[in-house]
Amino acid sequence: MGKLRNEFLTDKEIIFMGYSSRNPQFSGLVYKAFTKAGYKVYPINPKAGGKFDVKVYNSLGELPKIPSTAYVLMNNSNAREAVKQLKDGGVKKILFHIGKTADKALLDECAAAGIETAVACPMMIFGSGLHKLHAFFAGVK
Amino acid sequence: MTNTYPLLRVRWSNEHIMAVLFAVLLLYMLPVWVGKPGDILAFLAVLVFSLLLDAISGFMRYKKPVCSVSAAVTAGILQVLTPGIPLWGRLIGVFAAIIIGKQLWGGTGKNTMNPAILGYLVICIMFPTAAASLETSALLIPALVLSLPFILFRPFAVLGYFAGIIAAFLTGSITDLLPITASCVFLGSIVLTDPVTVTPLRSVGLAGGFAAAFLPLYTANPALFFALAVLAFNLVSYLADEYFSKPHEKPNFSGLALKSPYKDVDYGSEAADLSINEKTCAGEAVSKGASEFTRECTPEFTPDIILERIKRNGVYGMGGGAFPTAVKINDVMSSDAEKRYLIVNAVECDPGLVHDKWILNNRNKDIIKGIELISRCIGFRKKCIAVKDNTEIEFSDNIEVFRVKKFYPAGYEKALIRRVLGIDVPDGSIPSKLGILVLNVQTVLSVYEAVYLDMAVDSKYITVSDITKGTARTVRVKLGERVSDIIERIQPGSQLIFTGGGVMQAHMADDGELIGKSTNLITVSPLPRFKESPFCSNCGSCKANCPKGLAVNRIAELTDLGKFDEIERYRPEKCIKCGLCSYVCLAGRNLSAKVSEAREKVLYKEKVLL
Repeated sequence: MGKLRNEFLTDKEIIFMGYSSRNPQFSGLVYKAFTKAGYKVYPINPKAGGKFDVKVYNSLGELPKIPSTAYVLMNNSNAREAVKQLKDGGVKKILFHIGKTADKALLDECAAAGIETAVACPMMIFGSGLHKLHAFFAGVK
Repeated sequence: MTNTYPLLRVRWSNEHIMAVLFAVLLLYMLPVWVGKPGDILAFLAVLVFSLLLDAISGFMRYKKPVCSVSAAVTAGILQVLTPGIPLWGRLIGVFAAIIIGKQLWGGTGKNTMNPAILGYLVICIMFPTAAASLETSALLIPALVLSLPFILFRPFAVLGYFAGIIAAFLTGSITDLLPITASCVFLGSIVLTDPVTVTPLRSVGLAGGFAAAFLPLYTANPALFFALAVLAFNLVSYLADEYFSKPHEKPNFSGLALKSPYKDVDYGSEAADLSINEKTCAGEAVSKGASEFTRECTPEFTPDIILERIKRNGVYGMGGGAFPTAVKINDVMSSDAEKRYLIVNAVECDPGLVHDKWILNNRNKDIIKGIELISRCIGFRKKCIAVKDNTEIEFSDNIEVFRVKKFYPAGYEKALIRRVLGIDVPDGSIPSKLGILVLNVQTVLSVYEAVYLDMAVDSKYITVSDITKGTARTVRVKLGERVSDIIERIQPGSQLIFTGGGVMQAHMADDGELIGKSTNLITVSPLPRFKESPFCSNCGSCKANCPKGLAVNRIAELTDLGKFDEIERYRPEKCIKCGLCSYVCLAGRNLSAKVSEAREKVLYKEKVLL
């Protein structure tokens, strides 16, 4: 696992695993930040049922294509399941939102599967103000 | 079911209004602070305590930081109501207000009683000499003036309150009104206008406000009994709203003036035509405007030929309903009505649509021909075209131009009939069965193209716009074409693409989404800011702005709880999906999606949609 660098997100398409219905504000914030930066975002939530303001897919299988990069905003046990799906889908890079999401075992599992990982809030790259301050202290460039 | 929502929203929110209220409360404190600047520190202590208490309770409840501006308002009201009370006494009052008056009920917006008044009651019990009287001072004038707009939230309760004060004066329990004017304005316009705890019902509001003002003045401790009277009024309000408010009312609402999101719209130039790849005879004619072309190949159209061509070429309602036009015309022809009417609907009230106006400006002659064709089938007593009042248009003498004020949803069929013809079409009745034919202006154009040019309806004019840049244009597109392909040709590289019937009922376009019969808009826009706040302040704006007078907040609440059996009595099936409730909601909730969900459930249950 390396620190998040801008180069990590070179592919302009990204899967957003765990687009939340319980906290749509934060998910929406990240979604907007990605799209504003020119990324095509594919949000996924298995409970997607038309209650979202954006198009949310139920699973990777519903996507028109599977991008090589994914962002995971989930708790640890759900993230473990998500990583399995992403691995099977051929994803090459995974950005985990926080360290609690991705423990060492999960990161090792990704490394063994040849998946490059980083742990950081994407707002540190795309946000401004306090997000940039957060990025500075977290060493995100 | 796709989740639709307006892409436009009011800028105000509950938090904004609370912040303004807090600023007004600070102005009420000004005279005291000028005399005793030390009170500023005392108030800051109360304020910080109140905010911390509310923030911690809110975080424990919602597991995330929540706005605590309402706690600041509670602290402010207590500060104004209890001058001269020791700091510790006020802190106890704040504790009672926040914990017992608010959090125990479920948090902001869910309390039955006014938290500040509950805190005030506790202070009055601890300090029997506490009195809610404000000193008369010229410094209070700005606060008093700025308090008055809040009366609009609960006008009947405030009217009742002022009536109670005047009654007390006339019966001699008050000898001079001037010294208590400031207190009355404060209590009336700030305390009794809390939409969460005071009912909007006229009779209950008037009686409750009157009692809260009049009765305490005949007791030994008016301050204590005022607090008790307000809390009793709050309780009665809760019971009245819960058990006596009508599930749906006859709407007393004509519409809302909505600002167009565009700065630059070109109505004059030719529309981009993405519907034809090869220039066919008919296609060429359409792009030219067709008048010259058709003169040579116009046969003598009998009603049978006209109806046959309308049916064969699949003309449908282009306004969004997509109802087969031939069926509608047949309904009017077979109607028992003595008088038959034609209304061409070119109002285009949705602020995000521009193509109907373009059609009016550029296909005027073809529309007249379309009207003439329909008139050959039906002998109308009156033919009119309804347009927005700022539309400059001329039609032939036998077609009346009816100008409608620019508001939303002025184009709603039944409302338009009421305005144009003065006829009320009852709920459940279909206008065409009553001899009233209402057709969208593009439908009339389609009639012309289907009959004169014998063209199948496989394309339509829509609005393609960019809300971020404020630009819009009219584009002719083929039905079944991919939305993403169209936006890529008009505006390459766009990311957030929305589509739907208009800017007030749009949804994010799916990757493979196709242009459908009811598609009227493709737009590039920022995501609308629906924060789905749990803090409904019960302001009643959604119900007041519902063209059908539905109890929107109640329907939304029951939808969230999944209680669809209880929803039926609120008649969500009457919803016309205008999206105004979501537009005006101060809690930033997409209410129209919740009402739509309830509507679908009820309609499915009634097997209307099966």
